[in-house]
Amino acid sequence: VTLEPGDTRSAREQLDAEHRRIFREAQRAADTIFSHYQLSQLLATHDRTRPMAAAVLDELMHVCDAAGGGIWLADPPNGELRLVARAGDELMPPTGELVAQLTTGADAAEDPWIVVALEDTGILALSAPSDAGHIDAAARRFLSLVRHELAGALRSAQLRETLELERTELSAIIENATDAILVFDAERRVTRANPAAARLFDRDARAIVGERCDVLYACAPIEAIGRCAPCPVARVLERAEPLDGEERIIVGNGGEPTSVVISYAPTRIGPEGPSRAVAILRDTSELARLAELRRGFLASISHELRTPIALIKGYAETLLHLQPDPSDARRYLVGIDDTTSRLGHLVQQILDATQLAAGQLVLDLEEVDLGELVRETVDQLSIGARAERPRLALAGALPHVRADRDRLRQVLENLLSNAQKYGDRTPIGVQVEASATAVEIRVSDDGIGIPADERELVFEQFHRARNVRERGMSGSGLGLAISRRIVEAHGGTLGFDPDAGSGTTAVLRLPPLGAADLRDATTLAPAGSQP
Amino acid sequence: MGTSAVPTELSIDAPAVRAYVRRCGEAVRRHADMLTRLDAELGDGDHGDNLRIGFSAVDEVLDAEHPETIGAILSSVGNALVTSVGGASGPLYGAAFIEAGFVARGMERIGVEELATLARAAADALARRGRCRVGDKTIFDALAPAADSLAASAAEHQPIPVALRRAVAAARQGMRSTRPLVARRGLAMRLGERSRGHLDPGAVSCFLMVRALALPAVDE
Repeated sequence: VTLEPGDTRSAREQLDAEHRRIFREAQRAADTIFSHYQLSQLLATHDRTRPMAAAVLDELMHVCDAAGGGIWLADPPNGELRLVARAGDELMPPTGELVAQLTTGADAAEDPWIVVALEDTGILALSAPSDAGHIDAAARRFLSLVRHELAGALRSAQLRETLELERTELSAIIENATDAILVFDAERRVTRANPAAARLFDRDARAIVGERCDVLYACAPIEAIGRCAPCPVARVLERAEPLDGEERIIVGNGGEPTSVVISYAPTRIGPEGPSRAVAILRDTSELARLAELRRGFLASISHELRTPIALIKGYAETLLHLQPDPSDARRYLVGIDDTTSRLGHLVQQILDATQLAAGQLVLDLEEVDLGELVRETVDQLSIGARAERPRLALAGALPHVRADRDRLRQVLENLLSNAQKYGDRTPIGVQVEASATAVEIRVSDDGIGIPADERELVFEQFHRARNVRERGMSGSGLGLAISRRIVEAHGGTLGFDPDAGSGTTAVLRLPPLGAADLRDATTLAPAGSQP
Repeated sequence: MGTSAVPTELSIDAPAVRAYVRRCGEAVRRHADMLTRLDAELGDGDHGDNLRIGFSAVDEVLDAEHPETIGAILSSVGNALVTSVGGASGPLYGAAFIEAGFVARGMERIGVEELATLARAAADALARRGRCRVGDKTIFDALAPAADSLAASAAEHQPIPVALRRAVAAARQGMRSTRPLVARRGLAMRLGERSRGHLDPGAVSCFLMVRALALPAVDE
């Protein structure tokens, strides 16, 4: 509209109206841009999905003058829509209905609810206020303007949360792994070391970080190339291929060498990303120890089993082929009987040791009069024994203990038979005393004794003291190991008195009945978990 | 360069409006650090700096374009603020000045009645753009009472000095009312309950601009 000098008043009014219209339009456009700005700012200041969705919904309801609404996001694993934010009190249609409204592409202008797809991240629905009946066109235009940005921001927040969760899980795995884990960067320097690595190298994990592999492994690198000729870390980084089964001896800060087997895996994000190598170091010392133990077991058990079997076979063959006179025959039969008893005892010991190793010792606890049990055991053992009857010294009024009678008898038998066997026919003393905290049984002899440095080792399975081995004395090396386990399961201790002078004095302590420290556990933990 | 107090005038002309705008700039510059400090507690800590930059742009535009009418001056101020101020305050104050400028087109001198009309237009535009109401802890909490006060003074045919004094008192009251409020708009929303106990920096800067109306004028 242009104005000429002679124009009427209505023409001026027309021009003014036009002016006003243009101004209003420009201001509305600016309002929309400002709303968009505010929404972007809100997206930028939230990093968690749910608070972000709640704030977005609130803002959009404000901008679109909506009475209520909701935001549903697709759950990553199956794409199922999950309500993450809702506002307003009115009844919300079922999700399926909203999705149907979205997918039919029906013109939503007159619908009480409008539904907007947030790309493949989810959907957004807003309800019209009851007085208007529908969301106006400007608001709908605004929603279609911002929905891509909303989808992107919500997707990023979801992704961030997923990554964070995965990182937390992964960290927990790495931090709690029993294998040492190291990450090397492209310069072969450690960027991460878990607590197991700190234990292996006997240093603070933070001190390990930054160290190059040759320093950490204490290799002798070739100066010119700055690494060992066959450097496994360099190889993994260069070839981007995994490497398994590298054997290495790690000498920790404390000077203790540990055998490890190392597996390497390369990691890289994209072809241009920084290259790293993850190393997992498994301590194989325990495996080596177990293998040694197995060898000891086989050597000692095969000898122990073969000897009585050969004896029995010898007696039986003599009886079969030589038809000895009745008195000799009886002697052979007694020999077979004795030897089978010994064999049976040995088999029982092996079974016990196996059970203990598997943590399957079940105690049948009852109140036991220790003095009476000791007397019984001594009496039984004295019947038919060639040796002198042990001297028994029982203090009066001994407290009772809570124990498995048969298992405790087994321990006493083991201590007494050891005293007989290694006592070199010296007198055996059994002394039972009680204090406020313990009932103590001491079984002593004046025999060959145990070398001081082996007083603890003899409680290890299959370990036999060197003076016993030198004398070629038979035995499985299991008795004391089993006995200690049984005593410990009762909350007691079993050891040798280092100050007892010549010979050997075994000391068994049990808590008296009612003592506060009596363990209630009736099952042993597996052998591996014992210190 | 002598000074004369605006309140002694019977009506306000274009040079007086121009002088008012310059006084706004001075007030903002003088208190920019305080505004920024307040904003650091509730928002992103840039309100004072943003307004300082905005009013430098306003000065440049006034110097370069020499808008002659009251409407043109106010529109230029609004446009300069919208295009130069980062954050929400530029578009919000911009909307207020632009709207006032549009309503003021054709006015050569303004009395209390016109002042009330312009203030109402500015407040409505700001509320529309920010989608805010009184009590949301925003600029509007200081601007709306000032506009209401001017409307009341116009109805009572109060002289300019009285009307301005009352408007300043109303804006001060409105600014102070934001302290116990929980923010419902803007970045401070993030803080929720923690936004309580702080003055809204927007309400403070708005009070400063309302107060500039009643300050002694500096002749250009």
